Amino acid sequence: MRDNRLGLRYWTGQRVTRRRVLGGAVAGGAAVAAIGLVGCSSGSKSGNGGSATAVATGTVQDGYQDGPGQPGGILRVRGLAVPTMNPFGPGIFALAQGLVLGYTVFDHMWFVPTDTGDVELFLATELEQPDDLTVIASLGEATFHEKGPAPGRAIDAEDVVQSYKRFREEAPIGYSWLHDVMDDIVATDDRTVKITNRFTWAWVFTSSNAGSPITSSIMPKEILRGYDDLLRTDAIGSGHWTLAGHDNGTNEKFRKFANFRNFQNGRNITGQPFLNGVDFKEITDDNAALAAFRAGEIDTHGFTSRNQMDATIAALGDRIVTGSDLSRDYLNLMLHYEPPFTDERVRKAINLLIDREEAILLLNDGDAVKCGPMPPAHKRYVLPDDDPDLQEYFRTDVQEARQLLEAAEFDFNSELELKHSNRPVDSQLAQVLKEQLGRGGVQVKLVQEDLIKWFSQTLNQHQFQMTCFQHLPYEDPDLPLRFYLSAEGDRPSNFMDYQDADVDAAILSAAKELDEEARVEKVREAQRVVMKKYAPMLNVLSAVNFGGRYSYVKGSIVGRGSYGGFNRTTWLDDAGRRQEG
Amino acid sequence: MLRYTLRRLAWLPIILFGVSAIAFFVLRAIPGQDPAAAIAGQGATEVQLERIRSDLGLQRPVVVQYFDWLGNLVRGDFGHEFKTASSTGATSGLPIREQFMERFPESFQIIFLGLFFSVVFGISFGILSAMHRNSPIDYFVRFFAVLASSIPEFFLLTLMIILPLYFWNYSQPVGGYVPFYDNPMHYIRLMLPPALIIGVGGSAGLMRLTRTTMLEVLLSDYVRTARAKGLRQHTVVLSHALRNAGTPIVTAVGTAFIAVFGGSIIVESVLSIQGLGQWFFISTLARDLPVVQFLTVYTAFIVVLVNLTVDLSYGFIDPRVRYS
Repeated sequence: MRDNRLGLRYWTGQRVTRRRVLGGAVAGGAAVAAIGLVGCSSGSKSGNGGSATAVATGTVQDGYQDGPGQPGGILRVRGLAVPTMNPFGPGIFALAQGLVLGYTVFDHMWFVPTDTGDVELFLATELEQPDDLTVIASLGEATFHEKGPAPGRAIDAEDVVQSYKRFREEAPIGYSWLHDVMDDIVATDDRTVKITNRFTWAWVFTSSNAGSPITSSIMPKEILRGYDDLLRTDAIGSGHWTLAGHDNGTNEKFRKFANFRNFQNGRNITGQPFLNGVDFKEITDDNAALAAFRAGEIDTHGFTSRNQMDATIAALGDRIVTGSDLSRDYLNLMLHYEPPFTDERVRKAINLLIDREEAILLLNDGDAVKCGPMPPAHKRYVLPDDDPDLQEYFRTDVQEARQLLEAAEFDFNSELELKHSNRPVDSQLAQVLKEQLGRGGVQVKLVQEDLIKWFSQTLNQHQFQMTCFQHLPYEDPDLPLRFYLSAEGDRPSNFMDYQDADVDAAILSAAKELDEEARVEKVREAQRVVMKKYAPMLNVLSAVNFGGRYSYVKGSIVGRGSYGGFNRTTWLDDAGRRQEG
Repeated sequence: MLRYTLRRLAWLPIILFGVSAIAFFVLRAIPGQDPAAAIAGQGATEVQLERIRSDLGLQRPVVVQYFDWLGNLVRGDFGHEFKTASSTGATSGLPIREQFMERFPESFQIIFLGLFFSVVFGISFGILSAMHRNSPIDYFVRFFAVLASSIPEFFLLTLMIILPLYFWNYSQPVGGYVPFYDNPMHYIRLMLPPALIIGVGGSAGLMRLTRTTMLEVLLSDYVRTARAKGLRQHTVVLSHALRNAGTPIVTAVGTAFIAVFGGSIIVESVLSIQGLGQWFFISTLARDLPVVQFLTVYTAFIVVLVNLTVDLSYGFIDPRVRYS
């Protein structure tokens, strides 16, 4: 059925905030930190040694809140290892690479900020959708970095086309959109790119799709054929940063690209980025990162907890600005769709046993919010707190759960296996769930696995009875719902092997609705269907993140998702920095 | 002596062959180690996985893969990383040889400095302790030795990061090696504390062995005779006693080297130093089998070489020992 040929695999192409990627675990923490932390909210109380806000501020700042930016200076931020610089590298490593280089070294045609959901034009100066299946993008004038096989060459439409096609050929993580939704991409002339889809797809511009920081990166067409040695060691694009150096994929040094395009979404952005560059410092240990921040060796920091933030405020006072933001990542319990979980009463009972309020206290010291099918950070799409279906989903009732289990003839003598990765957040969640399910007489045996094994075998090959984990922080509302879809493209089933025609219909209806307001409603309706069926991915909570920066770091974009990290409006107040010494 | 040396050297390739075979086959026998799955990422179809296996030669019998790899290793071709290959396996990753040459100097400096402190602390405190038996110095050294061998290095490293932070707002530099000639002060700040920590860890055993051996020697007749002749204390201790206590101490230095070698993996990982230890760590997590195999054989080679050097040194330290 064509409707099911969505071709979007899980964990694919999604935006991930740079501070939280994979909990630093892949390949010794396969991802990245910190430039995103530049975007920590400055809207909270901070100065004069005051305390930070207790909850996520939800403040959105566009980067102009601190007045005109001063040019110059190098921002120093925390980074984690990128195992490969190859954009076409092995799946999960390419993800880590893309999150560092996408929207920084590589330019893109557009992006979709999380807070507005509107398409913001980057390299594209005009977008046209003549019909439901076609997107035509006109490109502005821009040039590639002064290195590699095409130094300083003007970008043409064929560069965009060839980049997309190379990503489609390689098909590592996140790229199945290119296979199953997108039918073709062609250059109709030097400045025009035409994308045709196989079917109507409302999410086409978002970060899980053609706005991916990874697979929509634009590279010179020359480098895409025959320059694999260069691709493994360097990154050449047309973004606002040039890659000036790195140590085996770490400690990247980015420097301002002097010839960066001067337009964005109809605005003149001449002079951006204001910074001369950004230096990443690989710091794998959280204590070492905090030490580096407090000693002034890095300019921004993501705190591991509010306590840590408060202690740092006490030590540094108004020298720093702190804030909080609701994370887009979320914790869940996933049940494999096999007995006893094929019985809806059992799934409902498991959900009734999950005490989300207690989990928030135990796991996040109260700094988190309950999470339904849609992570609450997606404010535009999430159901309101007083929604009856959502309240029912969040309800905890051990007695009722026990009655449901008995009615379903659940075998209380059997022990259910709950697999989890060795990431601390996953292990802690597993402990809490074991305790809570135990209150209803559900015996749980915990099985810990290392992250790569858990990810590639347990999750991807659906080899679990129950598993729990922290989802990546998806930057669009599309992906969280699609986890419940029965099948996508060449993937015959979802992680849970769960199949439900009503759930599929509700999710696909939203995905094909091109009218924005109608789509928002359909997304909400799809959530209700998922909850009423107790679809076997039971979401638990979303954490509040805490961040800080020295007060001389100004002009950051805040509250727009990870894209804030790529912003070009950050600037350093010279006087403030000199005062810091 | 020459025959003994040659005989020991002849064992070297046999030991390395055994280690390489164990490393190769064990890595492939562990469940969940399919590099194709790790490379392809989630949702890869069996066709895609087969293509990767084919491109990387993983579909061939393991024995054939092993001898191919071994043959290349002997010829100096250490293979290519998996993790920097393309996701389809169509293009290979970075050459391991180049990566090794790039990372070796940083690891060498940490290990060298760590061993230096290990030997200096171990032998000097061991001698001091023996010379002042049952004194406060002796008790302190013995306490220190027990402490050093009891506390894991990663904990000491964490303390090294946290304590200066809370007392002086000082941060141990992490993330990025800087050569001494580029920035001597940064180099010292970066390398000295971790070298001291792995040196302390490696010195504990050496300290206790030196003390025990020296106590025995200091009570021997020829030391009493040397003292009776009116020789100075340091001449008696360093020229007469220490030399005769040398054989077991050199053995312990070999063991300390291996401890320091292992400690460097933790140090490099925690302090983000781009050395061989950190490479080994991330490659293990990434299922990068060619790197893990190579580094296992390399480590075995170093350990065997150190043990051989220690064995051969006996003859030079103690003339009574002769290999014939």
